[in-house]
Parts: sequence; C-alpha cells; structure tokens
Amino acid sequence: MADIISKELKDIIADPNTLKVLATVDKNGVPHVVFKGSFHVNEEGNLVFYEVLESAQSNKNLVHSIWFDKKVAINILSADKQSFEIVGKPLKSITAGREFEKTYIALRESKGDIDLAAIWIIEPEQIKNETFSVRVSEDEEKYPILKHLDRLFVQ
Amino acid sequence: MARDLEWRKKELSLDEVIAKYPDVPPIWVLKVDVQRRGVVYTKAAKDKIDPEIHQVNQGTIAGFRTTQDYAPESLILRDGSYLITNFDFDNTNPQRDPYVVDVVDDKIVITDQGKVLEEVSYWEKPDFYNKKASNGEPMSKYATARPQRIDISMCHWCHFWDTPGEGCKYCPMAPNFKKRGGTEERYDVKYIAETVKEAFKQKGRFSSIMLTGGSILSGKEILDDELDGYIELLQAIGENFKADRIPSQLISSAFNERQLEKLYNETKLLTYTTDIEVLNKERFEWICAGKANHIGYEEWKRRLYAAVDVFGRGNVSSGVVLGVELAKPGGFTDEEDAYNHVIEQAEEIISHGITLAANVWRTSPGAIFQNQDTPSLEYFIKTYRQFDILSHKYDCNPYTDDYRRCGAHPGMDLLRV
Ligand code: SF4
Repeated sequence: MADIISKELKDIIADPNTLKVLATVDKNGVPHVVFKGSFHVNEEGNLVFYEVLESAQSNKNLVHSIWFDKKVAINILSADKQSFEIVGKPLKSITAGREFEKTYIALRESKGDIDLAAIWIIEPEQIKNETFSVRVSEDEEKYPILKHLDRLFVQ
Repeated sequence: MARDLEWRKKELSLDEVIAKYPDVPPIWVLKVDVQRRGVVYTKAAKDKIDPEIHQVNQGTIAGFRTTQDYAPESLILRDGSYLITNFDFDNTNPQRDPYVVDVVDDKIVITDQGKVLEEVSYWEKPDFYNKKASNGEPMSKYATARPQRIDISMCHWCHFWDTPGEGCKYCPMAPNFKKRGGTEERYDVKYIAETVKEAFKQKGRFSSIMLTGGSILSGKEILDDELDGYIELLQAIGENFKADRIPSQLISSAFNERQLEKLYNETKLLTYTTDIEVLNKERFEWICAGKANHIGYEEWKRRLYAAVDVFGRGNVSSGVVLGVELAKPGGFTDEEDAYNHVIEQAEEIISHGITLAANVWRTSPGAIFQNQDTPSLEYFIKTYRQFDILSHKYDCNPYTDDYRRCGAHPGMDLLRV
C-alpha cells in the first residue's frame, strides 16, 4: 500500500496538541473508543501507537482485527479543529526485540514508571476529511435536497 | 519426504480446517499445524539469520532440539505471538511434510507446497548470550531466552528414568541428556544467579522468569530434594528484587500441601505449574508410568487443586501433551472418543481455576514414542477451541503460559481476545 497520508496530515498527527482517537470492535461486535496520544506515522506511511496496558480493550480488539482481517478507525482532531478519519487494518503487533526495547526505554524516560505491551502498526487504507466546515459544504453541494425549507425561505 | 506420501488425502487440510472452524483465527490454525508438522528452512531463509542479532539453534532447556543444524531458534508471527519451532522431528522421514520457511519478495515467510502462508520474523538474542559467567563459561549455558522470558533448568536429568519403564514415553529430555554424554545434572546456583542478574540489566527484554527441570524423587519425603533445589534458586533470583512477588513460574513435580506452603512462604514465586500431561487416568498410567507409580493420577489432580489454595486462583496451571492420548497401542483408537474423555477431564480441572497449558504432541527423536503417528489437525483445533470455551467459562488465564511469555501452548492465544 502506498504512503497515502499527506505531509500536512502527518504534521497534524505529530502535533502533541492533536487529539487521536482509536475505534475498534470486540469479537462480539461491541465498539470501543479510546484516545491514543502516541499515534504517529512511520517511514513506511503506516500509523503506529504504543499500547502500554496488555489488558486494554483496544489491545484485545486489535488482536481480533489482525486475526480476522477487520478494519479499525482513527479520528484526528487538530488544535484548530480540523478532523480526519483514517480507516485501516492492523498490520503487525511488535511485542519483543530491539525496536520494542528502544520504545520501552524511551517511553519510560518520558512518561515515568509505565510498561509497554505492544507497538501496533496500522496500515491506512482510506482517509476522509471530517472537518465540520468541509463536511457542511460537501453536503450542501452533493445533497441539495437534504435541508429544511425555512433555511431557503425568503421572509 | 513424508513416510506416507498419501497423508494429505487422509485428513482435512489446513484450508479445510480453517473453513470448518471460522470462529478461530486462520493464523492460529497455521501456528498449531506448524507445531504439529515442524519446519525446515531454505538456504535463503538461513541467509536471513544475522548471528549478531538473532538467536540461533540454542535448543530448549529440555534438550528438545539436538538434530537441527544452523537454524533460527524460533519465529514471531505478525500478531506478536511466538511460534516455537525449536524442537526435533524426524526430518529425514517425517510422518507429514514439514512447512518450509523461505524468503519471498525479501520477506521471511512460511510456505507449504510453494504457497506463501504468513510472514514471520526471527527471535532476537538477549545481551547476556554474549557474556561469560565468572568461571569463564558462556552465560547461555546457565539460562536460555524466549523473546520475553528467561528460562532456567534446575535439573537436566529426570529421575523417573532411573527405573526402566518409568520415564514419560513422549519425552526426549533424559534420553537426549544421555545421548550427548551429559554428566552435569545440576549447575552451580552461583553461576545461574550471575546470569540472571546480568540478564535483567536489559531493559524491556524480560517480563517473566520460568524455572523447570527433571523430577528429583529423593529427600526425606518424596520430592523434598527437588523442592529444596528450587527454593535455593528462587531465593538467589529473588535477591535482585524488592517486590514481595515477581512475575515468575515454576514448573515442577506435584508437591504436596506442606511442600507447596514452604515454596510459597520461602520464595517470591508468583505462579505454580505441575504438568498432568495426559487427561485420562488409564492413558496417564501407561504413558507417564513414573508419575503414576510415585504420585498417581487422582493425587496429581488433588495436588493441583491444593496449589490453588496456596498460590491463588489464576496462579496455577497444568501442562498437557495434547494428542498423546491417541498413541499406540495403549491410547484411544478414535479421535472422537479421545476428545470426549479429554474434555470431560479438562472441565473438571479448569473448573478449579486451573488453566490447561497444552502443547501439541509431536514425536521427538529419542523419545519412546518417536515413531508414533500424531493426530489430525482438526483434533487439535477442536480440542483447543473447547479448552478456550471452558477457560472463559471458569475465568482462568495464567499469563505466564500465554502467547508472549511462553508461546509453547497455542491454545492460550485464544484468551487474548
Ligand atoms: S517428568 Fe516426564 S515429561 Fe517431565 S522431564 Fe521427566 S520424563 Fe520428561
């Protein structure tokens, strides 16, 4: 899969003030949504985040997704309220090795006494601009029939 | 080449089993089958080994791999679970063709009949493998590593083999010890302690420590010497930690209440495992004659349940060599019959909060059962699947035996979701 995340969006994702939300479902289809501040884009253009709790519901749901080839969704909300939805598939869970240890050490240096369960790598497949103003103008243009008449009524 | 060239026609294939059990992950079915059939490595796959980085054919602590040459210690799958391949199988005349680890598009992959099935990576070597103990011996002699666990073997000989006919018939440990001319049954605790201390300097490398070894029957009461050996080791390891309990597992013979209390009170051990191995009284008595003669099947189970009172629910597990109940001539002759008996026993044990950590039975060279035929892939999948349903029902999950701390019991993977 090609690197589909633009430079502009990569910068937004890398900004610590950006909110990053991960949505997954469990084996029974129950949804789960959680903020994951560590999301960033790696050199291959894939999304990466650090799961610090092995028992986290998102960790379990990602395992379920990688096992059954299911998609997950991430929403990005920048400080200036730009929003993007990225739909993708978990590619890999790194649970040991040099990369794992390097991340474990860096995380503990920056966040204190925490652990690391896995580094998750998610391949983005689809990106949609969900910024409110962008969505409103898209909607106006595409669905002129979907609005209340009083908005068009000339007093 | 397999000794029965028609074997593929006589059982459901990997794809057919995956299609028949859609609620279990395909990658996991493959994992079970790789354990059942074994793997070989192409030259290209071996060329991908960097001995500076990767762990190379160290052999497990039980000496289960003695015939492989230069090969990766084992594999890691994309889901972050470990695929243990460091065991011997009859690679000149195996029962079924082994899977082939090859390189395609510069990726290391598992293949079968030329079809690429999964991408894998190799285990990496811990730092202590490059170090020597104070006696000049390599530290890898005193402890071995899985990607997230350090393993120590207390006794390299199993004393059930002192009496002819008493060694477990699937187990190659004692025969291999003899074959390689082993004389040093136990290593000095001093060097093991030095190794462990060095290993823990590597941050993020180890999330568990596991101790095991052959049975030692001697002592004032049977198994007292084995108990004392483990306590001495655990105390030496425990000195490195302030915590009251450390993420640790002992896999030992079945201790009685007094021995269990002593073990718990005098060490920082967190979890306890004693392997019943065969889930049927008659087959246990035939296959694990030593265990049956010295402890007994019902008593082994009773001691497991007693261990839950000492170590707590969720902190006790039991190993099983799944499939060996179908060995000839004393085993079940029908997979359905075996399944029904095994599940009935499994539920009794799991209902006590004890997880069954089941290995895939493979016929190890050196073991009495080395020329046996192992069951179909479907048998393993169906049984593991039911173990998982029972483990969820009775809420047990000893993390020490799971996909990343251990990796040898594929059934445990299903508890990840
Ligand atoms: S008790 Fe049985 S399985 Fe364990 S080491 Fe001895 S012979 Fe092998």
